[in-house]
Amino acid sequence: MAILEVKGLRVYFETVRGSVKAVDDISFTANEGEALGIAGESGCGKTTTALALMRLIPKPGRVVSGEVRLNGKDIMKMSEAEMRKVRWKDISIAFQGSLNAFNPVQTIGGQIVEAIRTHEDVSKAKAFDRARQLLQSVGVDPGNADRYPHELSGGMKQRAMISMAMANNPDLLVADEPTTALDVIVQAQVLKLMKRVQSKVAMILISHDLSVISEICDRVAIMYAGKIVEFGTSEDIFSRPAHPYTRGLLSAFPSVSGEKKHLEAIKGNPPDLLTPPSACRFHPRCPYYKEKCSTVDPPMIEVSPKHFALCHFAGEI
Amino acid sequence: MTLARYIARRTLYTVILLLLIASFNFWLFELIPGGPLQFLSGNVKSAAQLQEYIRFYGLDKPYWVQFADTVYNTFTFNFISNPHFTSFVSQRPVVDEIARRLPNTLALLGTATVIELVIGVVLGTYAGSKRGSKFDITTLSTSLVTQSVPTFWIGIILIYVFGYTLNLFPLGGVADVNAPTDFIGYSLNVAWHAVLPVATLVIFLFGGTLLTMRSVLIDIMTEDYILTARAKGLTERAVIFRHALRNATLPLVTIVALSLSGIFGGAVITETVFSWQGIGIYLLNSAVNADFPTMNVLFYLIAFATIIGNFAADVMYALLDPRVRV
Ligand SMILES: Nc1ncnc2c1ncn2[C@@H]1O[C@H](COP(=O)(O)OP(=O)(O)OP(=O)(O)O)[C@@H](O)[C@H]1O
Ligand SMILES: [Mg+2]
Repeated sequence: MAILEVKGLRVYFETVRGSVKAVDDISFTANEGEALGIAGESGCGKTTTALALMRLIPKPGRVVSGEVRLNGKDIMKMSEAEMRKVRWKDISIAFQGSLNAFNPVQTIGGQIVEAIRTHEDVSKAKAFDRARQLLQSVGVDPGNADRYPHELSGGMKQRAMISMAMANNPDLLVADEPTTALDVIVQAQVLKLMKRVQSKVAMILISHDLSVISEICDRVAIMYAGKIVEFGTSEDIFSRPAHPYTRGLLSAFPSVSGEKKHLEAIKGNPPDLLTPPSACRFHPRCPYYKEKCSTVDPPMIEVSPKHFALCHFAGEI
Repeated sequence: MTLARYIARRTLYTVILLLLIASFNFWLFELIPGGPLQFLSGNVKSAAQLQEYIRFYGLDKPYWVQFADTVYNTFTFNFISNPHFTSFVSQRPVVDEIARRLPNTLALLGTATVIELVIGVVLGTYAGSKRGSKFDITTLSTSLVTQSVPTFWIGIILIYVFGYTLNLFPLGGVADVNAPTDFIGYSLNVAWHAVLPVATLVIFLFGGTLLTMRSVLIDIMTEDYILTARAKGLTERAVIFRHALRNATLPLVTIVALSLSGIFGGAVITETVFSWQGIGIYLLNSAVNADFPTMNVLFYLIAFATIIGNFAADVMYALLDPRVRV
């Protein structure tokens, strides 16, 4: 069953230079018991998408249009008070990097307790016990509950953040780049943790690291310049990529399939979202470019059941 | 670094700074062309009396003796028994003169500072947390204006409107000549006289506090942990009080410590406009009369209050910030 349905979501940042179309008409669903991966280059709108799911887009950004249905209810139509009840209880987020996501002048335990007590009527002592258990469950010594964020290492903070995100047993957990900015060994530990978390709760995992996504996610959305350009099962995306951008991305990550491949980066740079390229946003960098690509908006083509690609020539190339 | 070591180091710096100021004050008056002697001689009638004064102030002793004497006695606050700190003008110990005026200044500036801080901090916090709102723009532009208008102008306008035209408050002075002598009666009379000068200072001062507090809040509201707090489903009130303000305590401590240490120096212009017999007017008169011993003590006390205020802020920082505290 779909926990989350996003339809036609657009988020623009109204800057002095014009609107930055950070998320431009994207649709996807996340299902119960599944992990959905969102991958794409830096600046393609992954974090913006995640924040929109909690209606936390910072100024000068705004949701221009779109529906975000969480358990069937459109959060864009909720009052601020209703929205507060949804946050962390129904959907929570482990923030990117998580380096400054904890308040520096409050203890880790205190901040987890705050999350619990905002949504549940439990005593401080009980909530604190739970905070300690949560820390233990992510492999952080519960003694750290009494410590301040700066006393924890980056990896410990990232785990603590994940444990805080699970504090209210949300229906959906969004993890934004949980392994970025960690060294390889800690990365592997957090990855293992994410796998365990994934078995308990529906998850959206955001990463620009395809190997992380391929290890954990059941389904994958590939984003490019504010659009979802390909959407399908991990199997579809990694074995039968249909969009030229996905192919380019995969060949830039040799470790995904295990076999040694010629490492070729995609030529050119990601576009400026103030003035994105016309029609297909990938056309200036696309090796299969045809004239149509710069004049006609590409359709979402279902190349095989439930496997979509935003390309005129999906399935042909 | 442990807390004790941190405090020990700050104490050492503070002591060194105070010694430097005490020495600077000595040389400042020695180096003025003519030196103390020239100004002292203006107040005496006969050559014999001048000789007596020279001996009294120790001006016949070698420089280094005078220097050591002044610095030592200033640093140890030994103002009373020491003839160095006798006013050229009134021939009374400077401390006595200060003690007579300090309560007036403390009453005026203490009240004004507390009110100014409360208004500035509350409005600044609110404006900063709602950046770009109507409230923010209104308070921002208001405080930019009030902050740049000179105090004598504010004072004169207030006197004209509320004192002269509406006749609600006295035009100046600390208390009426025929004010009641009992404590409560007298205090009420002083309070009535203080309304306009306090208002003048509040109007002039609150803008600075507001602007500082506003920019502190604006910085904090863009921090990641504020986003986390909102994501947890906290109300905006809880976000501001539990997360933003707790991180604003450090800058707030500085604002408060520096404002409070400023109340000892008096407010020269406001006190003059309202003929408020405080430290500010006294400082002005001492400068006009070249009353060196008085200026020496006043300069030192004002610097002392500021330095101690800074020191207190530093120690509070260490006690409040878990990143410094060990
Ligand atoms: N506050 C803002 N003001 C203006 N533009 C913004 C703002 N926040 C984000 N953007 C723009 O929106 C686009 C998407 O940003 P977003 O943070 O969602 O990218 P991302 O995919 O998460 O990248 P990364 O992998 O680096 O985290 C970027 O082009 C960025 O410049
Ligand atoms: Mg991001």
